[in-house]
Amino acid sequence: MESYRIKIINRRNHSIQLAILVGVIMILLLANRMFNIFYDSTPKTVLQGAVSGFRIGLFLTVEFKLIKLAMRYTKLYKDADKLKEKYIIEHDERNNFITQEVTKICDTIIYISLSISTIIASFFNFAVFVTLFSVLMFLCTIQYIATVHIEKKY
Amino acid sequence: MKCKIKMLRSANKISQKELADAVGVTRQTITSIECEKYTASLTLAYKIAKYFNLSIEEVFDLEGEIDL
Repeated sequence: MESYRIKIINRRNHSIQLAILVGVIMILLLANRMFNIFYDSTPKTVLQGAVSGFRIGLFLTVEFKLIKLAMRYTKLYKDADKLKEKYIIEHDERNNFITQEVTKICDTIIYISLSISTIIASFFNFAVFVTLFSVLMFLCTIQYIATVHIEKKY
Repeated sequence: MKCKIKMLRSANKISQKELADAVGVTRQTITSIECEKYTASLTLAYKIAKYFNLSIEEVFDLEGEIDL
């Protein structure tokens, strides 16, 4: 259990480090948006404004999530009972089995839908086709590398 | 896979939560094994059998599950 406690402390530290990094990026983005320090980021169209808002919203969500995680981990490593409970949930073999099954189903759906979309896009728009095809190839490459790596491991 | 966990629990007056905590899984896992929805791994089967001071064969019944 001690090694798991250290793992949780490390996770908390990583969450804090990431939260600081995301916070700095967000402040820089906001500062640039307000005072145009690095480049002119004044939205010219409605779409540009929406994209800018989406970007800041995304950073804000990630920031809050990371702070929440850091707080949860801090509470966790101080409470032995909660730590044990978390350890059991995280290492429960049925939970891991469920995750594996869900991943398998999701992977299949993603590959099939992406392949169909790529074929459909090829009839209408070349740029969309290339983008979707690149994503499909990227996913296939990642899957292949992961399979080879795990096969070698076991 | 058929198992005698429910029977053994009743005989020893042990709750699902107590057994789950002792073998390091969630209560839901014990429920699933008892309902024969989930097959326990060898490690878990060994831990459960050891908890009741029995052998794996005495707790789990593989008959009908495998063709040898």
